[in-house]
Amino acid sequence: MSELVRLEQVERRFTRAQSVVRALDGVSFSVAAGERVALVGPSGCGKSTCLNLISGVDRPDAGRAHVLGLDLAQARERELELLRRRRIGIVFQAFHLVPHLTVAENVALPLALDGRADPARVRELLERVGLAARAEHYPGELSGGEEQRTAVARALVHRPALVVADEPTGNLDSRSGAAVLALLEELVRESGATLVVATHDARVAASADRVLELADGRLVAERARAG
Amino acid sequence: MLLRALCLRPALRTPLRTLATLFGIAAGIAALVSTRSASRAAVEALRGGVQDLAGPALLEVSFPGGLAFEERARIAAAAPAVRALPVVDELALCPALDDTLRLIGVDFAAELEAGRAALAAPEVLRAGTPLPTVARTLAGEGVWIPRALGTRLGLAVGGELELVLRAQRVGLEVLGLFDPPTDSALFERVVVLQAARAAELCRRPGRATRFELVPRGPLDAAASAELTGELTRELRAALPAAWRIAAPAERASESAALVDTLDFHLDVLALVSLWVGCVLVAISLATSVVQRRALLALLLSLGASRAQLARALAWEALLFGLVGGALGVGLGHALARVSVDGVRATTATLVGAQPAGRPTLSWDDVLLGLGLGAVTALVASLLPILEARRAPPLQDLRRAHPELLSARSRRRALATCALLLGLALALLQLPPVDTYPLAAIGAAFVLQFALLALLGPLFDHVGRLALAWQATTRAALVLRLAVGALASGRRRAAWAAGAVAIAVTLSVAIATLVGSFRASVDSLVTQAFSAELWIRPPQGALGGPVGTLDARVLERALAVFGAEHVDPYHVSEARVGGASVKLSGAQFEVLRREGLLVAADGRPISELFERAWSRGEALVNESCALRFGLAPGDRLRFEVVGRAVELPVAGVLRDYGDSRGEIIVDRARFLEWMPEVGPVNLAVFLPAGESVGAARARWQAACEPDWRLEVYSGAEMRAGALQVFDRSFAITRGLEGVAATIAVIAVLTVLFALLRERAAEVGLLRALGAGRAELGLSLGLQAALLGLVGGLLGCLAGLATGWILVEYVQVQSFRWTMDFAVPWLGIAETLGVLTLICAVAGLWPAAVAWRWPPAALLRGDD
Repeated sequence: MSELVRLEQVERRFTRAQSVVRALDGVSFSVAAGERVALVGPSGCGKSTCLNLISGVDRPDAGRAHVLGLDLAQARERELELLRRRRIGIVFQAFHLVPHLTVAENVALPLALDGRADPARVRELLERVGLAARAEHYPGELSGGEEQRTAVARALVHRPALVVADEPTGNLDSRSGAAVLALLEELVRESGATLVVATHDARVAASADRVLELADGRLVAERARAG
Repeated sequence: MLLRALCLRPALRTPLRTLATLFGIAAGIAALVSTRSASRAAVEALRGGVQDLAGPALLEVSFPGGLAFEERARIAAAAPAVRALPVVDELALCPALDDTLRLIGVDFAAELEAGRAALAAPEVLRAGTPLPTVARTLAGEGVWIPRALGTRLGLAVGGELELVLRAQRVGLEVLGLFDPPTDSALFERVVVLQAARAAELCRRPGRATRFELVPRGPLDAAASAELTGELTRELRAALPAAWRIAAPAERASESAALVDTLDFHLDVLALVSLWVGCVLVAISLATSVVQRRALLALLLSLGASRAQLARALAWEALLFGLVGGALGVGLGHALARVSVDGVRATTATLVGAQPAGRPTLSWDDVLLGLGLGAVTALVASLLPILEARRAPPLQDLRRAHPELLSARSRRRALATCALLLGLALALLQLPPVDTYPLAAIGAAFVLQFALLALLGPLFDHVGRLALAWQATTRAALVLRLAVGALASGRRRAAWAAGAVAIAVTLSVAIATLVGSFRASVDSLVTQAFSAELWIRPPQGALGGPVGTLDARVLERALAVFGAEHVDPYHVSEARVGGASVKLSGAQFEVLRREGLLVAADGRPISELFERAWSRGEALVNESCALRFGLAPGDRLRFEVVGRAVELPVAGVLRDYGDSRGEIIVDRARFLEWMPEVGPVNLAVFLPAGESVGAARARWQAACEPDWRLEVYSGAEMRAGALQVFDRSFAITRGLEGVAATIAVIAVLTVLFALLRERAAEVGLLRALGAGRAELGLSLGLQAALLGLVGGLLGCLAGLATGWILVEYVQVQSFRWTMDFAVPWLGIAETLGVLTLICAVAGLWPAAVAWRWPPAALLRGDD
């Protein structure tokens, strides 16, 4: 299988007041096309930083990071924009829906940014996530689970090759979280996309093809799913 | 602790916002302090000049055209308790300064004997002065000038001072330099010489401008008052009724009253600037509250009461007000030094060219600036306090979603607007208080509040429109995001648009007033200056009459052009019901054929002059007619040179020259009363077929070599009048600039606040692949929409306010009507330029947003 993501000795540092925090310290791994990979570890271990790098939202300070054939350290901003716009879908822990766009408009947002319109695709996804009846509602009128389902639909509307999800169930109760997770996995599988998930949730880790364990910014363990 | 945590530290962390808030207050205070300071300098120069010269003099006796020096004995006989000191007092043009100097002729020996030290007498006659100098001074062979003036002109003892007096060039030897007893502004521009010589130079040989009556010994205030009363009775009984007997201060009082009226209007304009600044401060403080919502919510959760928060915000506003006020006072004082010449130019058109006063900063200015700054900021703090009261406790903080106004709220806002419009109309029906149009100005302010009441429903409507279309294409998405952001932050958007609207209202109102004024002046001068050639004494750079024409000039003009073509114009003063008005004399016989000026009722002007000439009637200007309730056919009673006169009114003329009012009589009648008062200009109506150039050449050939005259064609006079107008209103350009700056700052303040509120959204859009173009367009569109909406409303309100200024404020203050002219091109330019500037300004927050790392935004980092 071809590699969609390859990180080699990647470092990412943040300066806080007078000290330097190494959020990632020489992390190396790869993700093949069609894989479902879970990043696990305690809070502050670097999971979100890793996902931000993979999704092209951030750049490494050292090392090499290739995503979908693009060297993230060398890529121009425009190339990263197009990467995020057309080939990557992101699901955030805090949902991050645009409050003054309707549900349908939020889902269509990636297409609209790319100058495209596909109402049928939007309708299809809304039906799949069970929000067809809420298409004209605003995020402020939805429950947490409904908001995250909207975010899942948005992440898939443009048929991305890679879906990145940062703690997708972190702000949800267990029942809603389970529903959202199942929906995400189902839709990703159907679309043939690759999924990388950062999570505390053991169920999420359990359903992944491979689990990468991070601690203090380093990759400390890697496990494949049995069977 | 609460003040420090909630207000002071955030203020230090956002230096730009802090500076914007301080600027809003400082700009308004500076405008007010500078205009007050400059006007006060002009008034003090008027009053101080009189008082410094008069010194201990209790009364002065005068007559238009002067009193013979021999009359001193008559006055002394009637008032033995005082010394009668002759004074010759005339303005002369100093070519080196291109400005006026005051020529004062005194009897040095009498001055010394009377103990008046102001005008060089002690220095002229002190023991150390060389005898030849003393002798030459007493013989009138030269002048003494203040040492500072000598330095300024580069003149030492023995140098020659060139002046133009009664249109003639004179060169005077400087015999001495003296140090004035005070630092009054008068002594920056005074020239002193022997009275007899001064009278000769002024073409009134043997005549003093006035006699000043000085007590023979020192008196306290009570004794002075008693003596003054006694003297007045004695002198009125003994001297001719035509002679004026009054305290020296009265001479300046009426001129000062005219300047006070101008001062009032400048104060109103400055207060409007302060109002605009107040709006900016309100927006700045309110958006800062928005940015501190999380902190406010936390404090509420921890047990702070809303009253405590409100008090902290009020203290914050007060601190801003005091600091901003202090900055404004300093800036205003600096600006006053720049604007004093502008004010002087305006007062010159009212009361003639006067020496400049020095703007000073008084404790009153400081206290006014600090007080108004504090009040402005406290008023402005109502908005942020209201905003803070809406902040929920931390547990309930939710992201905003579009809130549309309920039907009830919309109706309430529209009803408020209608009520305020009704109040404005009611205020317009009220009369002025004295000549101060307070009710009309109040109506203009009420109109602004009516406009503000409309903003909520307006943005609500914009929001509803935005929600009606689907954002499925990139262009529609960008527009949708922009409009949606404004609709979501409807209150903040309304604030910014409100600030823009008020700033545009100010600009358009001023442009309408000035445009209407200018159009009226242009129309009037086209007809007023219908004579082909004009001859007058030279004026300084600031304009305004400097003396009168010598009798030889008039004789020569009559000889060159013929009496049937020359209209000499004389000016003096009369009293109607005790109030001072301008009295002028013109050649009705010429004007009944040639015409000049414009009739208020539209009748042919020659008809009015024919009637006045043939029946011996008078004409009045519009100000006089409105001030005293006169109409054609009424009988006008007035007092001139001590005698009561009654004349029918032949007609009313339109002009803008003198808001006191003007009575115009035939020149022959004028000269019966005041034979020694020379003309201030000559209007020459050329015979058919003669060109202006040929006439000018003829005149130049006939002039004496030492004459200094200004000779203009009618077209040049018209252009000159408009130039004076434009110069007088230059100060309003500055106020328009202040308003535009404040509008842009308000828009930027709100955009940055909205941007910070929407940081996560910006991060999201960046994460989803939005580029610079989308961000820039969205924010630029938001800014342009704020500018456009505010600008449109402001234009409407500005036109209405301008109409109030033209139809009510102007008429009530200055008592003449002008044509209402809408500056459509100027308004379109203002709207277009402002929208463009706002749109471009919106790129700044876009550029800032572009630099924010999307990952940090999504994390919620500051």
